[in-house]
Amino acid sequence: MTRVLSYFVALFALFVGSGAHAQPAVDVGVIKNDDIKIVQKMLYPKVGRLETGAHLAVMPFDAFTFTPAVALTVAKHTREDLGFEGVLMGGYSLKNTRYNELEGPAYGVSPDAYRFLGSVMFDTQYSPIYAKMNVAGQRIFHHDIFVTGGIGATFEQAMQPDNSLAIAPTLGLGIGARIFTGKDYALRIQLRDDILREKRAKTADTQAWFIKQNVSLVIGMSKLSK
Amino acid sequence: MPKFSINRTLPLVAISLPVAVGACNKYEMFRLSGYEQVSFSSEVDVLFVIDGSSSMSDEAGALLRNFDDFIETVAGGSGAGNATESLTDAVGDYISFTADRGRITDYRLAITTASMDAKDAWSLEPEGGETGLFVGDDGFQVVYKGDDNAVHQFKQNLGCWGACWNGAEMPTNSSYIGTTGDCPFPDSNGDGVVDNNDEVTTQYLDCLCTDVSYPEGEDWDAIELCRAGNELHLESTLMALCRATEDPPEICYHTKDSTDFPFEDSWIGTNTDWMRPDSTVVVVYVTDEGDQSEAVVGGLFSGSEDDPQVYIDAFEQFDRPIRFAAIGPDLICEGDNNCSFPCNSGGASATGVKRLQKLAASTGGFYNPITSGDGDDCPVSDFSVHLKDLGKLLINLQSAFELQSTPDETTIRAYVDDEEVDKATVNESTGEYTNGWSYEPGQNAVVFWGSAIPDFNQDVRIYYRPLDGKPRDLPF
Repeated sequence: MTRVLSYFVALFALFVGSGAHAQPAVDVGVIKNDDIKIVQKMLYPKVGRLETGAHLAVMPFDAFTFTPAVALTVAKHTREDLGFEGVLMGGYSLKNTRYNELEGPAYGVSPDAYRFLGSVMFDTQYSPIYAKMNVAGQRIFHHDIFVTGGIGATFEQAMQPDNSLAIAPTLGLGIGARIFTGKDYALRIQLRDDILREKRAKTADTQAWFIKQNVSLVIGMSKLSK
Repeated sequence: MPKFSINRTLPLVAISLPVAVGACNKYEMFRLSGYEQVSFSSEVDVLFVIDGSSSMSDEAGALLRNFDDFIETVAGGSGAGNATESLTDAVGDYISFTADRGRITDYRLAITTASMDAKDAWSLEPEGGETGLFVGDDGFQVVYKGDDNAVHQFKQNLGCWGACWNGAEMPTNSSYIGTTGDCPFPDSNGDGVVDNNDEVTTQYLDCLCTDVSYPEGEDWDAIELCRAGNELHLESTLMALCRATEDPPEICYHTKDSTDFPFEDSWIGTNTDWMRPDSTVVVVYVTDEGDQSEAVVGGLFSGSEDDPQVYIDAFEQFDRPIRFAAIGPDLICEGDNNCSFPCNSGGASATGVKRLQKLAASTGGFYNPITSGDGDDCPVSDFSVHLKDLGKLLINLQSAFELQSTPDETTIRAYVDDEEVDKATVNESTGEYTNGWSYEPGQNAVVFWGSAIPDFNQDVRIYYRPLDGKPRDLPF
């Protein structure tokens, strides 16, 4: 009986041992996509820094005007994703070809459009996204995406010769990207929508207020300093 | 199925929404008038509609006597002046518009009578002065500013074709001196000056009408030149305009069923070369009767109404500014019904006179009484005053900018070379305006006054919000 038991033990041991040798090798270098979580090292932090910028802007979407403008910005980033910004913008709206066509003899019509002269805005800036992008496999840009919201005032003037002035309370919304070009510098691209509540002198009797939107594309450079 | 990602969606919404909405900013649309310098037209086509009845000889004489001054007013010092194609041409010729505004008035003058009877004169077909046809020798019915003998030609058309004379009862002046083409108005009472006491003499008409092509054996004294019957001033004007255009509006054919004067295609263009495409037409009535353009005699008035709206509507079909002035019976009304004639030598009716008065008032013209004083033998009023008023009216056209829509008057703003012009105020006692502009509802025009009248080369812009809201259909 002892001999028989030893035989079975030996046979079992052989079986088990032979099985272990037949297992395929585990490839520990392959990781599933779902398993990948990489947090990029943030090379250009903003927290605690003061950002000053100069920008060029255009307002190309109005039906009757085209507006070139410049803007100066000063922002304080209290958190990496939160900052407070002041925006001073100045510009001069021009009649576009449609306006000129209307004023011509064929139509004899003049829109009571208002010319953008300037605005002062105080925005809160929320920038939850920090990322980098690879451009053609040649270069990597670090950038962030931000949205802004704020209030302020816009100064406008009637384009008709009465040149009536309007100071309009303004709600500003925007979205933009900050592409870091160096440790202290960033290229900023932004789309702003300043929503004005505007009172127009010539039609004040018939309509007290107009809602006007100054949608602008803004591009500029900013400097981040301590 | 892709997962919804707030990080992807928000930027898309943020970008697309304001862009879409931003293009829809709402602006009030104002009308803009006076933009074109060509709209500042100096072209005025004047039609005199004369009452050609025998009772009007004194008035025709007064018109002849004072016509030189009228031409002086509207043509400037040179009399005939120079015709200009447009204001732009005039700019080169004249330094100052405001200094001598009459110089740039490019007029054309024609005369017809209020007679709508085609059988009045020598033939059964319409002749000059009938059914709106211009009077005058063939080819000389229209007097142009550029004519060297414009004054003489107009006087000839009036004195030799338009007026009715009775040579047997007219004064004579054997010492009268005149030559063909140069016939001064006679100093008939011999006091050394030509004034309102002087009358037309037979010698004067002999001189004036020497080279007129009358039918064989006829002259200025022909009875055929005297128009009797109904005086249809407004209907005659309508027919004159219908004859003057190559494309008459529908209203011209309202007489097509008339047996007396059916407007027909053969009439088109018979008053040729008078009414220009961009001109203003001024119609001047000279009459001692009122208008009688009732439907029963071929007019448009259905009854005895004194509101000329039916004719205003008819004239609007010619799609041009037309203004009316009248030198007519002296009708004084207190209220609308309590009217009286201080002097009614022509046997006018109040209704017929009111038509002319209202027509003149509604188009910014004037109505002056043809007589002065009262009684049966009241004298002819001073035609020099009437013709000066007419001269002012014509020149005033240079300062009047017609608007395309009826404006909300409170929104009118006028600019000359981008400088805003203040609104003028009227002096209640004198009726004169201060320097500035005023809105004239009758003309639907903004009129500049005094030193505010724009000079040559100045850009005039008038902005206003139309009463009916949206100015017109826009292309976008």
